[in-house]
Amino acid sequence: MVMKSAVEDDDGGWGLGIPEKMRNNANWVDITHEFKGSCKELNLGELLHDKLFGLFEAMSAIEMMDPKMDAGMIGNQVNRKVLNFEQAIKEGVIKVKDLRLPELIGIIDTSFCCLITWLEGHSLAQTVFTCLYVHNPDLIEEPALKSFALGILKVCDIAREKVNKAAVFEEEDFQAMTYGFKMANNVTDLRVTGMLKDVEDELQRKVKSTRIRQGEQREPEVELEHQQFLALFNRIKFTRLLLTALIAFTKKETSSVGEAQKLVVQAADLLSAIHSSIQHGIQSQNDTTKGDHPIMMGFEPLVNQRLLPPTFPRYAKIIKREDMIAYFSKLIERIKTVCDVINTTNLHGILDFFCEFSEQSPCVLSRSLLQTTFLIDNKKVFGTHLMQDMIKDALRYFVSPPVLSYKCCLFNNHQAKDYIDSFVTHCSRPFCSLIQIHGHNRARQRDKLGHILEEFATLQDEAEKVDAALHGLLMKLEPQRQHLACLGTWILYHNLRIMIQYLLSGFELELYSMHEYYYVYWYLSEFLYAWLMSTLSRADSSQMAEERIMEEQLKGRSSKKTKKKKKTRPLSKEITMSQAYQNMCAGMYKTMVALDMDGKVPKPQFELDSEQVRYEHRFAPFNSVVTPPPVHYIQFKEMSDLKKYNPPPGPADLYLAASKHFQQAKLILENVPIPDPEVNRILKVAKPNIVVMKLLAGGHKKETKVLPEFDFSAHKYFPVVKII
Amino acid sequence: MESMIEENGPSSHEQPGMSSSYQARHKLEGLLNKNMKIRMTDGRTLVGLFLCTDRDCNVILGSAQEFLKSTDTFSQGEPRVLGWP
Repeated sequence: MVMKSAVEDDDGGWGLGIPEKMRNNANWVDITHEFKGSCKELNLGELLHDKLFGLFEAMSAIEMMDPKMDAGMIGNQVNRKVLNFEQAIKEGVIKVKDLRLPELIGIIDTSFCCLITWLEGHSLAQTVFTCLYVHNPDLIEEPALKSFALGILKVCDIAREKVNKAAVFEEEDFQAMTYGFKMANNVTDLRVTGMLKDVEDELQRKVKSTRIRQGEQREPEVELEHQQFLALFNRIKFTRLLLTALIAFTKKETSSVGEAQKLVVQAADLLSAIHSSIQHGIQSQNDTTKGDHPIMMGFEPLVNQRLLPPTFPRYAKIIKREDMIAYFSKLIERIKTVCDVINTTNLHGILDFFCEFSEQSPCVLSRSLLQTTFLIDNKKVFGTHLMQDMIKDALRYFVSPPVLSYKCCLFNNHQAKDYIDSFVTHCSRPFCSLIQIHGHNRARQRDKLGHILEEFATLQDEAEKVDAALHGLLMKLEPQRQHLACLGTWILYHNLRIMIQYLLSGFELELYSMHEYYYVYWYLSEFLYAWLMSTLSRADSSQMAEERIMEEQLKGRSSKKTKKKKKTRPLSKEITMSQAYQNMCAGMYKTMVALDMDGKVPKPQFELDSEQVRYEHRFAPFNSVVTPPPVHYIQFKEMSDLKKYNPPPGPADLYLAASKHFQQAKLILENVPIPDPEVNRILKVAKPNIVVMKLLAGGHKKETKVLPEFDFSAHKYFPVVKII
Repeated sequence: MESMIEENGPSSHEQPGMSSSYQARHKLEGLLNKNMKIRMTDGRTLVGLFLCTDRDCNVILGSAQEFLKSTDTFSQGEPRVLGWP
């Protein structure tokens, strides 16, 4: 649908541009004058329309001549001819051979910028394919440019394939449309890398032949030429290394990931040389101050304007050349990190790896590469391990269930085997989804985490049933052992982790208002972290029980006394961290309640909603979970009622209590033997908050009406409270 | 708004004695859901179903297609469909 707003008269030449068929078959009658006259008779604000026409249809209209909506308009505004590749060659405005070195360098750098802009979510039509050369590399006679054009097409093609396969993007991340462009599919990957290598070798010879020789007096022109050859050589080599690395990611062997890592490291080494030679390339020549796009030889930003969807055009602002190197080096850094995932073998470790990687908000390409490296086409983890085996290992690591212990009679019991195998098989899909969720962008993750809780609730139910069945079997065979809540504990642990992450991410995404903080932190500290810690300690004691049985069996067999070694419990780090988080949340909860008592938390005028409505909305996804049961608003109000204390605490008591929680968190974290960045980040919040709470408890600035500030810059989830 | 053409030429027999605004409405209603061609000031031509208008001659077209002027490099090319699906 199109909406057309007032335009002044312009006659002549209309009808041109309309296909013959339309022109002839219709008996067009000019009604301009009559129409305008009739419209004037309408009342102000009156719309004349058919009965069936509603505002819904009007919603989907685009307004013509509105530069934001009307994609066709831009092309018409520019006072130059928009030529495609063939036309440009014919008109002689584009060279396909004998390009000067600065031209080649400039074209390559601009293409790199376009590639990056595409990877950042713009359409191919407005980025890479604004370069005319890539439209048909066969027409290029210059070997360096031809191989580069093919190389960049291959890079795009593989990147697109990876991103599509990983399926961790949404429309805001990536435009998968190719508009029917040919992505050099008629040439093999190997042929393209070979062509790039040939060009590279040729350039290397040129670089050598122009190099300064000892004792030789050199013309400045020769030196400049040497620099330019070197600049071109580095760019071609970079393209080849990037392409070869991406090709390595498409291979099925795990070893190729290591190879890819080596290649990107080599590519990264070229970046500083590329950076220092940017000035050798030609720049765009037209005057951009009049609002026109910058035009480079070989580029036409409007060449694909007609291919764009009829929705409003998003004018792709191509990144600057100066920023290109910084982006590439960060991209390579991310790809290097991705390659490290294969060194993690434990499912929990992998899950943590994905969480940590996602925390730096990586780009869609690196996120996709991580996904496709984790689960290769054959549905095996890293192409070698079955997901089911990974899950069994994770179970052994976490709760050491007797059914998975070689020393237990259940291990070879057919019935028990059936139970556990079918459970593990059912776990496989939700866990793959969970890992996939961590590949999405941060904002989308939250929504998806809320949904996956339903699947985990089903698993929880099954886990409890399987536990009960296995316990029944075990009681008959080995009455001294038990199989209680092993699998259930493990699923519960993941449930809680998802719920906690769901709530915490709301702080990162700035979804909560200040007056909502107190119940979110309450839910975390009093409920979720409390559950998490009891779950972890149950898993820990389950491990210990299993270890005791192993020890006893060993003792029985060998007379050698097993040396009692004190080894650190596998879950101790996680228990410690949970305690610290719980104290941070409790501290924040008490802070918020106290601030509220002091009248320092602005509350909205609830008209159509209430605190209860908001509370229920915030925790709505938890309703699908059975264990832990959701805490409803009424329960929350009862549980958090301060009147049950005698005497009820005042603001000063609460500030003091909050200060103690932050103090406790600090103590716990300072005793972590090897503090990681996360520990330091929390400490950065805990320390100032201890002081601020003590001051507030002492009545500091009690009368001020200025609202407190919450500074989340040190930590995503916990703010430093500032009283001004 | 520029040249406006209506397919299947509108019957313009006016009934005397009616108020001019009634006649105007009647005339416009007769045009509803017919093909309309609009020539824009920048040279493009739009063809689509006439759906809605107002006193300022704002027009909403349905199933609209955009044609470029013949001087354009892409002249005689495929028309472009406009609007959100």
